[in-house]
Amino acid sequence: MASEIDLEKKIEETRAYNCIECGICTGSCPVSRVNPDFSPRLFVEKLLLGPKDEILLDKELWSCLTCKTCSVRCPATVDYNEFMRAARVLAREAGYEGVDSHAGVLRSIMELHAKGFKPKGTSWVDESLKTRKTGEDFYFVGCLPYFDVIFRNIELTSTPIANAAVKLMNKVGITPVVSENERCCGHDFFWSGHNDEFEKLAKYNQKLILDAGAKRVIFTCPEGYHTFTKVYPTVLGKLGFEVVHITDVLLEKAKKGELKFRPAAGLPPATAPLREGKGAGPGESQTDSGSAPAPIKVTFQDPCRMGRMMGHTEGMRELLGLIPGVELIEMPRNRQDAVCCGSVEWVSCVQCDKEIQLGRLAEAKRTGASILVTACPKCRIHLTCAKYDKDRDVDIEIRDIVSLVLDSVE
Amino acid sequence: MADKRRSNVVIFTCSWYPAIAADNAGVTNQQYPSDARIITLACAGRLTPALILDAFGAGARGVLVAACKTELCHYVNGSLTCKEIVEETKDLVELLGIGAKRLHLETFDSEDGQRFAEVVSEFCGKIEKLGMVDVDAVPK
Repeated sequence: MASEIDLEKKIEETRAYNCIECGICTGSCPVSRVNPDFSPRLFVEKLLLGPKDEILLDKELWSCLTCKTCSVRCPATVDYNEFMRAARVLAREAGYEGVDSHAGVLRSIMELHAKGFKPKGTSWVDESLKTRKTGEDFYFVGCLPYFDVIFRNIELTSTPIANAAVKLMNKVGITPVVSENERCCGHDFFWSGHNDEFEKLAKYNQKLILDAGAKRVIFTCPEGYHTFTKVYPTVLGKLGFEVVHITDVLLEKAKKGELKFRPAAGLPPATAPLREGKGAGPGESQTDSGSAPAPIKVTFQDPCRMGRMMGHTEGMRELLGLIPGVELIEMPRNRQDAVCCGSVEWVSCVQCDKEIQLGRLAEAKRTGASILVTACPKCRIHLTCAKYDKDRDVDIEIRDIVSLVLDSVE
Repeated sequence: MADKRRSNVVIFTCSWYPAIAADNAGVTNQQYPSDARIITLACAGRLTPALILDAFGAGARGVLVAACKTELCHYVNGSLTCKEIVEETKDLVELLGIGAKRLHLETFDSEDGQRFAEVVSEFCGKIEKLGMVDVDAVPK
């Protein structure tokens, strides 16, 4: 069978033979913690010992979040992420699929983009924003306009992030290209095993950006940023433009003094840390008696695609540190060890994912922070969705880093 | 499918009143375009945005949704749910460049055989005028 040969090759490439069965992967996996049926180690063992097709049939193949915690910690340097992805590509070829979340609407949208439908996604651009049709800097908005429609049921709008991003770019003298024909970056197709469609999307987007004459593409979404930086070159070769994340652009401008900060407007006051079980942080409580207002405590959720997969953790923290009156308190699991927001690539969102999200929200709450800052629109959606469950007491405001920065610049 | 004159309309009908209306249209010898294909759902409330988008992806040039009159729904709020879903999908279809004109919701009673044929004919005519959905070729 052709697929078996490919799988053999992938085992070689991802160094799955190196597995020493230590179980660090399963011990680290946020999914295994809440779903005992899923185990990265078991997957590798099934693959090495059992019939090769067995893992393609396994429904737990779709439970992996591809958050890379296991790969980062593996002493034998097995690349689980790539391994899972390859298995998904083969599973799809063999006709097995995961269960799409949101009744498959996001998958349908991505498919239509890959089929060449011409999107018109710039209704969020208002007169206050300066944009252009061609130019040096291209702002890649991603799926934000679609999220506005799909996540109405949890009362969440995502285009304000794009709006804030363009406002900030205008403030530092950048007039970005915003194209209405921009397609999905293909991140979710790539990780859920739709290889052919992913390649089509990559080609469409590369052509669009080159046609606009752009030299640099700016992202607000870490998934798009990672896909363009790390994955597109494997399909397209040389991209012909530079890829940057907006926080890096803003940080550079702030260091040059082109972006001036003031205390953030309209932030809620800090709350006392929630003492709950043994997991409570070490002595964070503090009663202010001085005349100066107490700093607003925030905590930060590292997106997997930025932190573990790209190694970008400090830039965003530096940017937050520049905002006066904001104090960053780290969650116990931060940077490379940050927990995934619990759902990726719009496949398989089940009770386990909710548990991961609620656990993460409780962890954020325990730091005593009143705001959880995210740098990924999808983290914001997933955590807001978990919070939306009114039965649970997880009252913490979730803000995107871009809109927080906009609220605190002059 | 490449025939430009065809309207290629998909009709999602609820299995209750709209399906009976469609049946009545046949029984009473009403004429409507033959390139409109009916897909029956157990309840119009079971329609999802993905089903509508997939119909466009499969080559439909228009999608007509036939639900029961709100007060006649067999499942309390199925017809209302359907209305919400169609509203949401209209926004998505607009974002995807297909155009909200290509998606239409109509409610029916069981006796509406003649009206069913009229609505379908009118919608197919409209779609025929709109033509095919504009699609880009994959860059080399």
